[in-house]
Amino acid sequence: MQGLLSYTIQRLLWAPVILLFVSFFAFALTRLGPVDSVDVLAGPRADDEAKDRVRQELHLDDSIFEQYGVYMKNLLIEGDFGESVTIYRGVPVWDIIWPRMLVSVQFGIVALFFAFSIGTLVGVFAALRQGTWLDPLSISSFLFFQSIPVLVSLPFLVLIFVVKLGWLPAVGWGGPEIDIGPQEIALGIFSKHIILPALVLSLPGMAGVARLVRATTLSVLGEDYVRTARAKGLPELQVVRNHVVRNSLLPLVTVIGLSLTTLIEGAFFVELILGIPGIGQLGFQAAQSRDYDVILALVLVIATAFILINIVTDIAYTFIDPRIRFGSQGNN
Amino acid sequence: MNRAILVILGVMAALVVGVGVIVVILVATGGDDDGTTQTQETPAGDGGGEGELRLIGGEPISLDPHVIQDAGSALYVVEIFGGLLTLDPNLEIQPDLAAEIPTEANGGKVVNADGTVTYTFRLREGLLFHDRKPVFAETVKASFERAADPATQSLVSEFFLGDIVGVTEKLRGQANEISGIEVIDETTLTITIEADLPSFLFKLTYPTAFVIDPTQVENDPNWTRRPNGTGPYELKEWRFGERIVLEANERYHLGAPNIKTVRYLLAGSSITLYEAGDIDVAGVALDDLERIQDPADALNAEYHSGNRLSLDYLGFNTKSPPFDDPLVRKAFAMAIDKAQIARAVYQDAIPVANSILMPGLSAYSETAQPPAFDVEAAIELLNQSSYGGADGLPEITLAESGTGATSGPGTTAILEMWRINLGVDVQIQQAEAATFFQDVDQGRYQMFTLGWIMDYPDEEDILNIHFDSDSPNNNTGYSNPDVDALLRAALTESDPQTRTDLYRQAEDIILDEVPWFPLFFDQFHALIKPYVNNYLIPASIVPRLRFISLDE
Amino acid sequence: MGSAVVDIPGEAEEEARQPSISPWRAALRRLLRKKIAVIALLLIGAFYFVGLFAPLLAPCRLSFCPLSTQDYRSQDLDNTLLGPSLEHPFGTDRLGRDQLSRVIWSARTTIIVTIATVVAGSLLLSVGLGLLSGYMGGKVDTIIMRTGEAFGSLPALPMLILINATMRDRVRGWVDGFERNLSTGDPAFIAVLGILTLVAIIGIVAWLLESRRNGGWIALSVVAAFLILALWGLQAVFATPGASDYFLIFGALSLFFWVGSARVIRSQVLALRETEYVIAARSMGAGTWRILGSHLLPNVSPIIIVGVSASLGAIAGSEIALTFLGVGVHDPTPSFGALIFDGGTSQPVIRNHPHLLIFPAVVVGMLIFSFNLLGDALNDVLTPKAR
Repeated sequence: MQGLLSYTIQRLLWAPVILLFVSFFAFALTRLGPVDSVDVLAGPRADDEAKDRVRQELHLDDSIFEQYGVYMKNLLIEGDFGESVTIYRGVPVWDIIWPRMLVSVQFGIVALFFAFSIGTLVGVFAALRQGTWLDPLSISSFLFFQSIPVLVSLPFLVLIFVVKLGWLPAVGWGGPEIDIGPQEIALGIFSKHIILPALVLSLPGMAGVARLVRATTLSVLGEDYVRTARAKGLPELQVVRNHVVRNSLLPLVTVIGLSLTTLIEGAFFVELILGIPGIGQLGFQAAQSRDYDVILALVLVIATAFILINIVTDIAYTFIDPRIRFGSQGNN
Repeated sequence: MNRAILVILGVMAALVVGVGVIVVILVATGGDDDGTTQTQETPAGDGGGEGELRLIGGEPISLDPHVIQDAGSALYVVEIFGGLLTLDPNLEIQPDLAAEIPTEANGGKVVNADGTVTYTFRLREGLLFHDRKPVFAETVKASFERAADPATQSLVSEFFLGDIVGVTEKLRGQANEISGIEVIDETTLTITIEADLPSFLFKLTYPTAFVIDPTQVENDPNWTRRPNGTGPYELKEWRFGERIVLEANERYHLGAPNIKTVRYLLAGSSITLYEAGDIDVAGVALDDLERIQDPADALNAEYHSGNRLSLDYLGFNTKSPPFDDPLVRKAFAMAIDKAQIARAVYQDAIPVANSILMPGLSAYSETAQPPAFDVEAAIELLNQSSYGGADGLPEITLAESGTGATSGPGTTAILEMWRINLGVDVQIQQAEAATFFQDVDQGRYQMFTLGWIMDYPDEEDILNIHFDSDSPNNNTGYSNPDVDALLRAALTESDPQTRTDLYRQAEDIILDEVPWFPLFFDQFHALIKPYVNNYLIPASIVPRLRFISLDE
Repeated sequence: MGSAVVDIPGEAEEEARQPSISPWRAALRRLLRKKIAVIALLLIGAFYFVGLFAPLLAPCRLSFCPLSTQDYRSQDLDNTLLGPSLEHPFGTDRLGRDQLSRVIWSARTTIIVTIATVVAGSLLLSVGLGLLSGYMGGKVDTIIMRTGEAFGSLPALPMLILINATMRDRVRGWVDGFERNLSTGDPAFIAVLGILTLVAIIGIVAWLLESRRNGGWIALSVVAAFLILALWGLQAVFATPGASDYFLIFGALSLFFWVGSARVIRSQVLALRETEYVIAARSMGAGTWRILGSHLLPNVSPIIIVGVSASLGAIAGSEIALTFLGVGVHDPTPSFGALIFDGGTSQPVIRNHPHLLIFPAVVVGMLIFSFNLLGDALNDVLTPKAR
């Protein structure tokens, strides 16, 4: 277990380094990138004096490293992401992001659940039907659904389910409500509103999982112990359940991180097209309104969640499959 | 359970824990429909108002009445706040906080020896904010001073309040108080203005002159999210990107609203929601217009349309090359076939504008002559200009408000006309509304398309505000001494006919020099459910929700 | 004696190439035997053909359409929002522009962005850094791979949005500046071109005169010629409207799309650098660059092909996504992102004019699907394990 422990520690130590790198990169972009940040920050009526004041207040004349230090200090010690400048002038960034994050997370989790549960079932089923006419059909349809970008599939689903059939609500979000501090949010998971975003977001992931499960199931089916089990005359269902499924599900852990990328990126389009008040919509608005601190905070939050989840999956994977340890770090 | 599945479930649980722990807890604790907790304001009593009106709206940029300058935000602000005077749906001045309109007849208006004019406003008895704090003359004065404070960064206060003696000094930070506003007693104040200006009382109906709660503004940095006003409706809930809920102010001094709750959805597709019965009023998109205008359509009976005092125009930055040359501006204007755009792109849903002043204003003239569509003359003008023709022009960018991948079809059509007719390739740049307004004000664009909706039905609110070379809201940098003289003369002219003539002369010069090129007047096309009564769509942004009622 | 020393690396080179050529052909043959891969290849080929020759292919049957290459912009305000017909197979949009022309020109935009990103990101960055990282090892390796890991561990889209939102004005300024300094009439520009041409000629002459012909001189002229082409190309790109958008997009995309293939190339190089012929070459005194260029590069090229083909679809998807979100290519340059935005975001449009959505969406779906099919097939064919 020595190797596993040190691997875990190494991964955990590495996370803050990446986060530091990312946050500095993003911070430098927001401070050095825009031509006009002072004009935006100082507000419409600012004269030179006011602009100087803003520069001083925000330490814009200091070196980028000092500015970064101040920002990170406020962020880490006080949890202060700064204030929105253009979208909701003067409102703390965190108050804007937090409720929206909870909205995005709701359909994100449901989509992830759909992707893995349905994807696994379909994948195992397809593997057991290898060699029949269903097989090529299912392979290509998996690949097809995995290929279609959300921004292509979503309008079609809207056309069918909202405009033509009228089964799903036309407005993006709703449901029973709860108060979370800065404002109330709606729990879409208890309403029809969750269906469309979760469905469209889970499609590529579902297909990806199905493909992977099909492939691993096939290789497991060829293993000696399965053949032995079959030869022993065990019922097919039992063979599949006890020997095939458990071993073929293992690699799935690795694609959770991958599915998350699809989810986060897909959320931008889903929220924009359906009008769901989540972080994707906010990111879009903020980018359009030059509200740089809001985008910065969003990038930091997403990157942090992302990196943490990747680490969790990595470590989990090494726990269940000791071979991986050497695969990941064996090259050096 | 075998190990692999356990691990997968574990990882998914870690996801839930890592990212969404709050959701899980909240689901467990607050899952019932009535889990909403009312934390903001005291709920209004169960007075006269009943029912709920469901509308669709845009997200306001801000609810700070002193700062906003866009119609989208004003829509909400005029319902939540109020000032000394207000406009009724016919755009006539009515007293709001003031007990009556001060006139010479009732002794409220006195012309002083030095030419200044003093208005005396008596407030109504027992005026209350939504939170039941009383409104005194002192409160009104404090509101004006907050609006004119340089720290408020209002871009509109100079125009709307600048007539008042002492506002300019206050705006420049040279004075702490506005010397022209005097509190006589708890319910009386006087406002002294520089000269006898016929349109001054109109300006008091604009949000910049609205009364805010000074203690709230001072103590609550987030007050615009729970504004405390005196208007017919109070803000019950503003959920970013989702909805705004207004609740009737049952104690409203001009009469309690008929409808208890007005709910604006801030997202969704208007027509689909309307057909699904989720909203009661919907704007009609161009793509649905033809279908709905067909008398055979089921929705046709619910279709309404009407004019608004609103103009879409093309603004040229007269300080920025190449539009510093009037000939270039004119050439660009003359290369646009507005009639074709109106027909093909807008399906004649909006009328072509041939003047800056809209029908409904007294100085509107049907015979106004903006540069007419004439390709050859346009090319000729461009060749005569100081740039010597299309090849001599610098790179040109047109800015418009909007987000997303593509620009508006009308704008794209104009761009193509310039390319085909003049051989000039104009770039387009989009900016989100708040940013766009800011950049227009700072003169950052070479040219832009924008709309103007009248704040009150007086020519001053479009001509003086935009074309006087000293106006802070002159967004094109246009400056012509003759126009200045005419506009300023009209301001103080008391004879309506002479005033109209002065404005017509000024408009003719402006149309000829093209700082603005008028494109289209605005018209609304809406579907209104039959059980909604008296749903007025006034020609301008004025409080109107309290007049609407619902059949049971 | 002199000639003998020189000849040995040449032999080693032959040996090195020998094993790599026949698997190449074999792989190609195997690939072509897969029907699905062939179909995907044909579809992608058709897409590229149509896109590259857009100026010639885009139909322009409008009476006033000038004989220019800009016909995707030509409006016919008398024929707006027509459904599909013989004259306009994909219908017309709100301004009477032929939707088929716009789709074809959008393909061109996608191609420009994907190729630029592949050249800048996948080829230069990932091949260069991958080779370097694998061959040098040690600190260089650590720095390159850790940076890659940092980029690779991020969701690209929010970062791309951040980059686009913050850098757009600045990049526009740079591009304008370059454009001014790079105009064809500029004496400095002509001087630089002249010098490069001279260098190229000298390289060729020297190569011809030199008895040993070991390739050093010809490499110099190739580099010079490449630079000349690049300068001309850059000048042409800068002069097109919307150039800054292109630069911003493929610059930002490159940052994220080099990591995957660089990693694979590195591991391959790690394995190769201990092979006999590399050790032999090194012992003969061949320099780092020579070994990288003539020994390692040819051997990793199959992997580069796989990497590139896998990333082409993803890059195309990213461009379309960014444009859709309003931070990519801008009007009037047509892009699938803009077409789908126009046709697919407003419910009245979806309901009343579905052709505005369906045609571009189907083309995009087919394209990305084909790329994935091809990538899959290539993976099967070229990766020994999956065979």
